[in-house]
Amino acid sequence: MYILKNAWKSISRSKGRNILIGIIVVVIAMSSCIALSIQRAADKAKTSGLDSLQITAQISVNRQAMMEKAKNSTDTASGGRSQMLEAMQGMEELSLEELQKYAQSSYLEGFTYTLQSSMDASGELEAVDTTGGSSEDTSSGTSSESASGQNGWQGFPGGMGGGQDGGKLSPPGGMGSQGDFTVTGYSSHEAMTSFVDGTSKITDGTVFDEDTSEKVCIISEELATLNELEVGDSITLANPNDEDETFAFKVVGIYETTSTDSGQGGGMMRFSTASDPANQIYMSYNTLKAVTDQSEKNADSETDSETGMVRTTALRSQVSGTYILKDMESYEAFEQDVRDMGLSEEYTVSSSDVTAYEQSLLPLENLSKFSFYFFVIVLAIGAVILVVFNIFNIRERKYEVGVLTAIGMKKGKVALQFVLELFIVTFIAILVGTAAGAVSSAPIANQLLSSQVSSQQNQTQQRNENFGIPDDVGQGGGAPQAPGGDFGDFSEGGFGSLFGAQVTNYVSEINASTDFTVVMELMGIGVLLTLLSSCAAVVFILRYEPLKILSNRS
Amino acid sequence: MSVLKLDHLGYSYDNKKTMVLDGIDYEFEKGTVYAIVGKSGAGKTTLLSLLSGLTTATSGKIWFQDKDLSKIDRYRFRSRDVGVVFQSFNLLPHMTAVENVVLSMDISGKKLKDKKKTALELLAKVGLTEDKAGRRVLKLSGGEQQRVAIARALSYEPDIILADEPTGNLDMGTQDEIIDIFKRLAAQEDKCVIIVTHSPAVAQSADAVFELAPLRGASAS
Repeated sequence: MYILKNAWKSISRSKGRNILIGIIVVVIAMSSCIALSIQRAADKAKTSGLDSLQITAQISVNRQAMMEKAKNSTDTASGGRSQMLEAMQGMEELSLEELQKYAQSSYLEGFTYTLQSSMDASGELEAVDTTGGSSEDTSSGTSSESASGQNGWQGFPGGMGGGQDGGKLSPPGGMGSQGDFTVTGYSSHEAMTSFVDGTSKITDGTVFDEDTSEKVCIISEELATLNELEVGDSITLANPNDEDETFAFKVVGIYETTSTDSGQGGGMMRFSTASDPANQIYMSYNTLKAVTDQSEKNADSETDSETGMVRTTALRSQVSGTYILKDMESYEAFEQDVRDMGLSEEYTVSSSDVTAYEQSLLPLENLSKFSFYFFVIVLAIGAVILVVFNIFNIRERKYEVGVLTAIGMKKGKVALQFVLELFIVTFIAILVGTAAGAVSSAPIANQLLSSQVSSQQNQTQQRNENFGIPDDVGQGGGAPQAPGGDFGDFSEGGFGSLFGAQVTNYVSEINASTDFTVVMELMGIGVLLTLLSSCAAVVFILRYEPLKILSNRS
Repeated sequence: MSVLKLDHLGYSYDNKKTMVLDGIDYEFEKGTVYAIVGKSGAGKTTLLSLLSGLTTATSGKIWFQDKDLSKIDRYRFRSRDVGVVFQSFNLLPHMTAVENVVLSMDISGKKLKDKKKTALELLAKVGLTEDKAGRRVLKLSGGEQQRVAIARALSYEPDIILADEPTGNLDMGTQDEIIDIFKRLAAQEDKCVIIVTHSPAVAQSADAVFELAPLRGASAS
């Protein structure tokens, strides 16, 4: 008891020294409090965001790996290109059968698939055109089959690789043309996400049956108005690779959409009428499948003797599957599961929801990382200062140690008194620092976060500028002007994000309030710091011999 | 029965090369005032350090109530059984006189009643007013500090009082007073008082004188 009393008296006797220690600890505690609060808030934001996220996943060819390969070989300009084309040729998107095989995974909540194709207007049908002069180019491009060079890369509807279906690959580069319309066949109504989330709505007629194979479709209000079409009328679409091949569809429904995005296959936004939301024609999977099968039967194909590529006039299409998962955990488990089922490394399981979410967390993660390093540095510097301070302190109080031990106070008790003194000061300082940190953590965290967000945005903008992408075009979600080079061939829907052209809604506000856990952590840190810094003191005290101190003194 | 017994006591600072004390036999009894005299360098202060348990003998033994001093808890011995008045007082300068005394009582761990009051009484007994008792030691004169050191040594009622030149800083009148206090402690409270002194007057008033012969060249004792 008298040790505590002595410690307290000693603290009040040397106010200057203890205030100095106090200030150091207050700064450490405050910085640590803010850093810890930010980290906790970031963690919470991450988990709670993921909890409320319904995850949809896709399995696709690992383009990133291929890009890397291609990039590595771009030194030999043309050689790089041909190598890349070769690589692309060797890769096939998964067939529906394979997609369905992976849909057996027990982690799934649902599985839907779509078939997408690009078709031209035929007869009197006219596509909605908001692209100005470029429409002319596009349509001329579409009618002139086998475009090459600049037109060639424009010609991919869903992106590189062009259409494949049932495991058949249409060769890329110079094969196939972009139609006026994007025709999408859905396996179920659930897959029609724009209708599910309400951005699109049937205004006249009804939607097609999920399972129907009849040639029925729904078209946009704009398209209907332009062509004076009504429910019950028919439209004729042509194969862009073979204008003579036409297919007639009956319009069973007309929808309006508030979407400005072109949805899937939006890579060519603004450059192609097909990606205009008004030119989206929807039908059931079976309907479109029947059409593409038919087209394949009618198609002429030839093999290029030089490259060995097979050219076909068949209507190109691309099947894609969407796996619906409950949460992040099942998403990860699903990925593992499909690997176990035999999905090769050439394919990736990806989720645009997760990617977008992770993207939105980028500034927050940066901040969290920054705050962690800051925390470690502050702690390290603080600890060093306190240790040094304590060593000086104890040397200064050597005589006191000598007297106390000479009159019979055990060294352990002397050490305890010194540790107690430091602990009391640290404890009070941590309380003050935590209070100050708690008050300032939320505004400071948001301030830091907003500067992170703006630096992230600047970076993106800068990158866009480097790629020659103006801001307003960037909004569209594609990278239409990606300059002719090798990368241009890859631009497709989601892939546009490679160029940072997609606008990400960053998490720009967090609730970095100090909670009980943070306070407890700080107390722990306080105890740890006290023990660490008084370790030196204790060692010194235990080494001192009272007689030596006193005789040196006298 | 002797309270302290020196049994062939020897001490060397440099591993037995130069012996400061060698082969000393002596017995200290309760109820007696001893004066240890000797020339400078005779080892008086060294002997006091040994007796107070601040250091241990190089050879021979010190028996405290039939226990080997080198084998017992010397912190406990210092805090309860022996009261030392150091030559340089060894008070805590930033504490008041009374705090210094109370601290010793606290450290002894003895159950003493109303420590502050006892401390003030003791300080009054050695001639320190209450006003002075409440001052920081730093602000007291050498003589006053010596009185505080004496009061501190007596505060926890040890059996043995060791004093190194306790009257060195005192005037003749006070010196007599202090010697009287020591004599009274021995006679009335059956304490063993051992005083290291250069003063013939102090030595004369002691019940027994123990003279140390120098073994090494003269140096500060």
